[in-house]
Amino acid sequence: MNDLEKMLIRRSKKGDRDAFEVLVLNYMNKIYNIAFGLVGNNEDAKDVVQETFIKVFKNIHTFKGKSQFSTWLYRITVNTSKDLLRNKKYTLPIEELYGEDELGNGNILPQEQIEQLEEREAIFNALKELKEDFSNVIILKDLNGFSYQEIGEILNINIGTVKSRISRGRQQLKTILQEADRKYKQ
Amino acid sequence: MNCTEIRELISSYIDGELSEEEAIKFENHIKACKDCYNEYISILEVAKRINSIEEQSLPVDFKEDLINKLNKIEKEEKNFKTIIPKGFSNWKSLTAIFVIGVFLFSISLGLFNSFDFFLPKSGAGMDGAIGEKDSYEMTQQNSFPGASRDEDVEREAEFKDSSKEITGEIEEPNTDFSSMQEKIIYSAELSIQVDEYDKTIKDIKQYVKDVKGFIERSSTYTPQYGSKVNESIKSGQIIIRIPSIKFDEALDKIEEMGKLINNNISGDNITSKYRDVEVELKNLEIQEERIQEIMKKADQVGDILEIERELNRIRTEINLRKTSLKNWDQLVDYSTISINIREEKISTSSIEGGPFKDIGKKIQKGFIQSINIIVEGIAKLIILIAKLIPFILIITILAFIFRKWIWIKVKKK
Repeated sequence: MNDLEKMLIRRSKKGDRDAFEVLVLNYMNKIYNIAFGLVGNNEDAKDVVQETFIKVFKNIHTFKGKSQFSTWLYRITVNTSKDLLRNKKYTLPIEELYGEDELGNGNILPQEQIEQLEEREAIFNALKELKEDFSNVIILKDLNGFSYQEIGEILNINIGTVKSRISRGRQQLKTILQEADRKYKQ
Repeated sequence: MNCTEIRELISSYIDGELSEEEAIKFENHIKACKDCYNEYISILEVAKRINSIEEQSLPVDFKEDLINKLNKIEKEEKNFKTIIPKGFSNWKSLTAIFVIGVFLFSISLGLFNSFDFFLPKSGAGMDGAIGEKDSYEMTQQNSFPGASRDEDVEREAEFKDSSKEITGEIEEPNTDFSSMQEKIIYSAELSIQVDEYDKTIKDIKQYVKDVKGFIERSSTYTPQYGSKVNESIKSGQIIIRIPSIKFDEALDKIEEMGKLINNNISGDNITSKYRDVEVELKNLEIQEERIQEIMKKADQVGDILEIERELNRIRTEINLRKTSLKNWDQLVDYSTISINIREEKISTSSIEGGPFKDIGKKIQKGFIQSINIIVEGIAKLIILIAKLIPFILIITILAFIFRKWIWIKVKKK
C-alpha cells in the first residue's frame, strides 16, 4: 500500500467523497474482471461491481489496514459474487456469455474474434462444472493472476488449501475440457 | 517422492509457488517419468488456455453510473442521518436524553403546579428577547443534549462540516450532452470533365471562399506530350473543405461545372466513438477536480508530491482526449470533397476561325477562279471552233452538192 493510498483511505474514512472515488475507481476494472470470472456474464458482473463499491463505501470505516486495501476490496468482490450466484440459483444460458454488446448488435465479427469467444465460452462452461471452491481459486489464479498468498487472503483460507484446491481443480478441469473437445470434434 | 505426490505439485510448479528445493526434485522426476511429464504438459495446457482469455473492459459510461449511484446512496444515508442524528447511536447520549427527558418532565410538572411562573417566561421569549439565531442554536443543542454534549460538540462540527461537503457534491455530475446530435464525417470524391480547366479551378476557389470553407490541397498537371500546345489536356486534383451544412449544395454546384464521370459519397458515423471519448474525458475531469480537492486538504509533502504525479497523469490523458475530440469536430464540421478535374477538348470545336473568317479573300479567290473558268472556256471554245473549221468546210460543200442534186431532181419532175 503506497502513501497515496493510505492517505486516500484516511480521508475516505472521514467521509471525503473525492478521496473515496479516487481510491476505488482505480480498482474498478480489476474488480470487474474478477466478478466476470466468477459470475460469467457482463450484466451480473456490472451488478457485482456496483454492489461491491456500495458495500465498500458504507463499510470503509471498518477497514483496519491489517491487510492490503486491494485484498480487502477483492474479498468483498468475491463474497458479493457468491451472494449473487446464490440468490440467483444461477443457470446460465450459453448465449449470455457473449454479452449483448458483442453479439447483440449483429456485427459480423472477424474469425479470430469468433474463435476467442468460442474459447471463452468453452472455458467458462467447463469452470461451471467445477465445484465453487475449486473454480474460485482457479479464476483468481489463472484469469486474474493473483498469487497463492493473495488468493488465500482474498478467500480467507490458508495457503495450503489454495495449493491443493488449485491442483485438484486443474486436474478436474483438464478432464472436463478434454471431454468437451472430444464432443466438439464429433 | 512418488508419482502421486508429484502430481499434487504440478500446479504449484506451474505457478512458481514451489520452493527451490521442491522445484528441483519436481524437475528431476518429470524428466525421468514420462507419465508425470505428460500430466504436467496437459495441466500446463489447461492453465494456459484460461490464461489466454483476454481481460474484459468495462463500458466507458459505467464509471459515471457508479458515481451517480454512490451519490444516491450518500443522499439516502444523509437523510437517514438527519432524522437520527449521529449522537443517537451513542449509548451515552441516549442516557443523557433519557435524563434530560425526565428532567424536563419533572419541570413541566412543577410548572403546571405554578402556572404563574410559566406564562411570563415564555412571553418574554416571544417578545423577541431571544433572537432568531439564539432559538435556532437552542434547537440545535437539543439534538445533542446533556452530558455528552461536550464530547459531541467536536463530532457535531465534523458532521456539519462533512454534510456540507456532501450536499455540495450531490448535484449530479453535470452531463452536458448539448452536442447530442449525430456526429457524421461526410466526404465525397468526384471526377468531372470540363472544357476549361483553369476556369473551373477558379470557380471552385471562389465558391469555397463564398461558403467560408478552405482549400486543403490542390495540384495541377499539364502533360508535355501532344504535338501542339493547344491540344494538351490539363488535369488536376483539388481537395476542399466546406462547412458540412453546405455539403449537398456544394456537390450539386461542382457537378454542374462539368460532366460528372463518377462520384463517391460516404458518411462515417463516429457518434459512438465520439461519445465514448467524451464520457472518458468527463470522467477524467471529474477525477481531476476531486484530486484538486484533495490537494487542497493535503498537508504532508509526500502526499502533495504523490497527488501531483497523479494530477499530471490525468491531465495528460485529458489533453489527449481533447485533441482527438477537436480533430473529430473539425472533420465533422467541415466535410471533405476531393475533386478530380480533367480537361477535355471536343474535336468539332477546333475548326479554325469559323466559316466567316477571311471572307473577302475567299470571295476574291472564288471570283478569280470563276473568271478563269470562263476565260478558259472561251479559249477552249475558240480552239474547238478552229479545230472544227475543216469539217465545216467539207460539210458545207457536201450540203451544197446535195441541195443542187435535190433541186435538179425536183426540176425534172
